[in-house]
Amino acid sequence: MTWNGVHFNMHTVIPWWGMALYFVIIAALFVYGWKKHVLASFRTVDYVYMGLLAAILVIWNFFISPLIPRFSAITTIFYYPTIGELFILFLVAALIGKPGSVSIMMIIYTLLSDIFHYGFGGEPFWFIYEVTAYAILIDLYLLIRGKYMGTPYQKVLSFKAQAVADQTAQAQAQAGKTSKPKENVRKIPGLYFLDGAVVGFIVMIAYNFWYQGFWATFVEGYLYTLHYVLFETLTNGIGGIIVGIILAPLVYYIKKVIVGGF
Amino acid sequence: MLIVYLPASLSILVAVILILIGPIIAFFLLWKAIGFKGYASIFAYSDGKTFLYKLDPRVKLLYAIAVPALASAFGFYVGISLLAFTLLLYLFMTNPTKNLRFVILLMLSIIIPSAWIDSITFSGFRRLKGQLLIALVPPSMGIRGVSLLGLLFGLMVSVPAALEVASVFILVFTSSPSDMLTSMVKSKVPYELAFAMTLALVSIPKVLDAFSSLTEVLRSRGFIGGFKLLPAKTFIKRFWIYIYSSGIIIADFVIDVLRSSQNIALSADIRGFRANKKRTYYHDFKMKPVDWILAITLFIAFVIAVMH
Repeated sequence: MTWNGVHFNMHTVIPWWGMALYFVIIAALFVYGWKKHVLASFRTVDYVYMGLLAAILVIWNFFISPLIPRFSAITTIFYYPTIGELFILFLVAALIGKPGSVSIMMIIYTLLSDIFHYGFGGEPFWFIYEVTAYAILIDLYLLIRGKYMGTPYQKVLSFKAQAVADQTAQAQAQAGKTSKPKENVRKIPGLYFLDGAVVGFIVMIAYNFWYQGFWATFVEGYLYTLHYVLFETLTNGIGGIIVGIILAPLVYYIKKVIVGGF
Repeated sequence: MLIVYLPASLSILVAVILILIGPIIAFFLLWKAIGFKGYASIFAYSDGKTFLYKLDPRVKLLYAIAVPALASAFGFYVGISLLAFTLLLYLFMTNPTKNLRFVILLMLSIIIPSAWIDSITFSGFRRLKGQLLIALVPPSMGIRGVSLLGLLFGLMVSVPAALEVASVFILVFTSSPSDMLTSMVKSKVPYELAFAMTLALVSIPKVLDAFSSLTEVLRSRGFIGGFKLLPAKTFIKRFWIYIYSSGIIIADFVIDVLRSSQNIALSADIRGFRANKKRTYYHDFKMKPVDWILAITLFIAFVIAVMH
């Protein structure tokens, strides 16, 4: 049986119950975000970043990327046209630095790519794939890194350290020195390389792990073996970490120029 | 049938070339015919007076969803008829020749690679040895040769994709970005999302233009173009310069595009973006009876297509 081009083939490498559990967690996060008015928490300029970077992603994927001869498409090691997508997603996360930003940008991009290139066959599952395979995972990472994503700084996550910082800020406020509580931030040289590695790994394994492991079979009916998916995931994951580390200084440089203050 | 006997290593090379040649030729044809500047100008909306311009953008979006679905569901003959009808609609646009040329080229850029890939893999997957036009011996990477039947099969199955392009560009060519934004908001899409989506849509020409200017600058400085064999040491040095410069160029390009963000945000805030939950419109957007009739018809067509 097919519906809107969807085969509903359940002979997937990732078992259906694993995906179901994952979706329940993601759906709960979305409901929580909606209740917390995530859309309202973004500034106008954040939406501008999302719009402009979605446009750049459309141009990369449909106008520039086809220019690159895809020798890697016929190897099993590393699919390098994805570098552009990884760079743009990393940039969105770094510039906006709020959980939800990458998912929203991917929703905008998927709609535009459906309109201009892919068509609406297989929907709504491609929306779900794009968001759940990597966008939401980068957003979850942003819960830890926040506005310091892509920089060598990190807000101290310890409650005790934050309480001390709040007390100091309060004392300073009472003394009339400052009225704004200061965040307890620590500089860790080269921390942005870790950001690059994490984002690189998440983005580069998406196609092999999530698409070939579940969506390609479920939607399009293609069959893959467990060993093939694991081997591809491993090789692309390592490639993603390397590319992410290489891109990290570039993203940091752009963030310094555009946002400033780092 | 022409049989080409090759050593195994050469067979792999020929297979790789066969895989790559179709998509590359299609893209370069489009590149030469339109180029980045052409793409940028195509997304610019120009006003018109015909019925296409008076239809609600939501109806046109529904057309772009329902018609390719019908083509996918009911096969080649329905698909090709709908494609002919859709291309006929282009005659009611302000610049029919220019728009038709662009859409036909864009359709070809999708059809040619699809048909080519089918012509070289069809025989491999279906084991139709007798149908091969040119046979590669030994077969390599799933490629057994070039099949005419595969080519025809590829042409037939790419009709819905071509129809998707043709129908969606009716929406792009005949609806202004502000109309699209208003229609999305009226359809209960959150205003913020609709804003970002419309911004992305209208920014595509701007970003293409920025990229085009950048490539022109690089070409004028001798960075792009020309290919000559170099000694190994010079080649490595040149290669490193290329890699390093590419990073700088990408950063410059992105910064150039994103620098306007603050101004755009300020401009939106000044115009009351998100100032109130409910907005009023100078040019209010309401579905007319003809829009409703078409929308319901297209919706029914879509439901029939997906249930087929």
